[in-house]
Amino acid sequence: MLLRDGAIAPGDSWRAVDDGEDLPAGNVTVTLRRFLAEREQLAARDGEVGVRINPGEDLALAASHADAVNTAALVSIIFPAFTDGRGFSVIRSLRRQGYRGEIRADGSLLPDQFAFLRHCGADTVAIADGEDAQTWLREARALSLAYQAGYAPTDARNILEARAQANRATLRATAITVATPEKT
Amino acid sequence: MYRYDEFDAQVVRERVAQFRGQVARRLAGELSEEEFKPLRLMNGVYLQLHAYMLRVAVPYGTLSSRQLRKLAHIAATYDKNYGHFTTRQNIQFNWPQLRDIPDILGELSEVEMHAIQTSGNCIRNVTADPFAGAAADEIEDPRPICELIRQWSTFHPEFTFLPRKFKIAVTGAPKDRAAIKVHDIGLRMHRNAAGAPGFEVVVGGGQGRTPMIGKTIRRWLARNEILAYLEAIMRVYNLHGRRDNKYKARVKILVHEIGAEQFAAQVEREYENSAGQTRKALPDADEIRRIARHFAPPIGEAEAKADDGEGAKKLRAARAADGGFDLWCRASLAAHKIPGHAIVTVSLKPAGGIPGDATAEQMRSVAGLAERFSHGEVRVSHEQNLVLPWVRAAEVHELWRGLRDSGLAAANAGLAGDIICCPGLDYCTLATARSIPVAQQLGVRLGGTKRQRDIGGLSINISGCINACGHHHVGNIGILGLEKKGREFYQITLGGSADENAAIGDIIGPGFAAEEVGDAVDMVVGTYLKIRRAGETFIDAYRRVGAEPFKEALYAA
Repeated sequence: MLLRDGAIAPGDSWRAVDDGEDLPAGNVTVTLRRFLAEREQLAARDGEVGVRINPGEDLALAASHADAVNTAALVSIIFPAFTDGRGFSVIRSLRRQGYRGEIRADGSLLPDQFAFLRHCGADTVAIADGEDAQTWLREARALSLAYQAGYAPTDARNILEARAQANRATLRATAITVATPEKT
Repeated sequence: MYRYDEFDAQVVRERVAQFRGQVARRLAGELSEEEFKPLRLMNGVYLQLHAYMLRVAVPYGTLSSRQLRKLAHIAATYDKNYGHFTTRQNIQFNWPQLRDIPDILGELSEVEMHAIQTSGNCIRNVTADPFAGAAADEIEDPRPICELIRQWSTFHPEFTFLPRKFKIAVTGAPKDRAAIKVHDIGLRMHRNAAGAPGFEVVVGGGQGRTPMIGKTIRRWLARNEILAYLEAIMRVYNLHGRRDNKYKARVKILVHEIGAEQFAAQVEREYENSAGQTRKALPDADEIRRIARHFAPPIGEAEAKADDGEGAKKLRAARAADGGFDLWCRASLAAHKIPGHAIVTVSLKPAGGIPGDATAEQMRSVAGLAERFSHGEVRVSHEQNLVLPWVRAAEVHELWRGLRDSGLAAANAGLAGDIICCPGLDYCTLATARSIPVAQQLGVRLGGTKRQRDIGGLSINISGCINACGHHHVGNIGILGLEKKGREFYQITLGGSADENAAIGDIIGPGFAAEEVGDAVDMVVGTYLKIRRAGETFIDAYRRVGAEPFKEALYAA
């Protein structure tokens, strides 16, 4: 099942294809290795191409081929274990290097990580069929505020922005008081 | 002191509500212990030998008297009437019931406290100089930066599932009272050539089974760049820190394996890549000023300027008249940046007591005394003592009487009896040996204040296992409790130091049985007294002569 923007997403059009497996029609994701090795073949077919990045194996390769990764229609980050937080930095780095397509979090994850994933810049998360989507959606909204500046906007309110706004409002109010002296 | 605004308060309230739901799911059997574990750890809840333990954050060691009263209330209501102040400036409650913990967290939130990120593989509570804002030698109060780091690291979306726990310590003074060189990141304030205050950035220090002194990766960093730079360090660590072996997962191992220069280069590259983005981002100067305003000294400039030396005169007279008071003053008072004032350390190390423990009554007493004598402010030190930072010299004597009435006037701060000690096998599932009974035994054996005064400055640190929560690696005398064939034994290290000249102690030889540790420490101290030159402290003497004379005394017979 796929969750997007804090809701259950309608059907998933992407199919994960292994190395050496024939490419079917339609949208596919392939491993980073295959994505880099077969760029022309992949580009020549109908359907979009996404790339799967496993933070356990692909870090150096992904970093040295940032431009190629940026052309993928989807980047799927496969978390090897929910305790392995490298994927969060990979997502953040992808956004920083200018990747604008869909980022999907997949693999071993906890509902409590949903909000963090979105905050780092992921669009979607793939959860196992047996999992309770409602728990995930509830946890995504458990914290309505965030302190970290410069991370992706989500429905969580950024505290620093809110404070800056409040400061500006105070300044404006002060300016108005000064500009309009009381009439005597 | 920092006060929460509506946002800070809401963050904590939401967290309490979330954890209340998680505890309910656990108690109803919807969550297994395995599933519950990462959730409870991120809220400071450990499962110890006999019960759950709750570790409450004391951000950068600063407490208000109101907060301390709340801690006393929690000790009395939900625990066995005491709490344990830790080497990370936090407080632990050893006997709470799991079902009560959401209520405890709710009560804490009423006084702007929480247990967020006091455990787990995340950025832990940031620690600082306990004399921050008050110390005579300080360049600037480091706590505004600490509070910025506290907020920035709270529920950081990118850095909450790190390879391992991550500890940051900050000092604003040249004299390092925050042990910054044995932290994952240590920040030391100093001035650059142009006279502007900034931070030296030290990375990869730590204790545990692989003790290391941190390496400098940036000589000077402007204050407003701290968060962006920390983010770069954290990203390099999060991506490249080892995850294949829990014991090699701290950043110190990464720094050691690739070398400090290479690590620094990676951080600088990451910083350059992301800096444009982050530098433009918040917090802006207004926000930094907003936070800094909270830390203005509670003593006004007028009062500071009005000091006529009478208070100091009164204090001198009282010391001259009362030898016991004078001994306590010599151990407990530190120079203040505001004339006519003193920083007072309240030792939580009565001879034979449990280092760092305080009863609910003692916490209330200190809170009351802080209100009368220290503008309602209290600090916790990594030596597991409390500090009253804003005391008038003229009132020190009266304060001392109040402390004495509460059994809190041990005159041993900074002396041999000021033993730092982890909970050990009496509480902890990780421990291999007991540490508290060793501390109690030594505390009595080291003798009265006069003998300790004669011995002079000496730090003794005891850990009940190689995880080193008692910081034994950096004790002048370190004692590490181990277990072999069902028997506890204790390994002694000498020459460790946690200050600006930080050093890891040398293992001196085979370990000692529990009943031999007292004799061994006596022997070490006796050797020092024999070899020392006039005015030479234990650590200076050790550095001059090395381990040999001590080995000779301990093992030659």
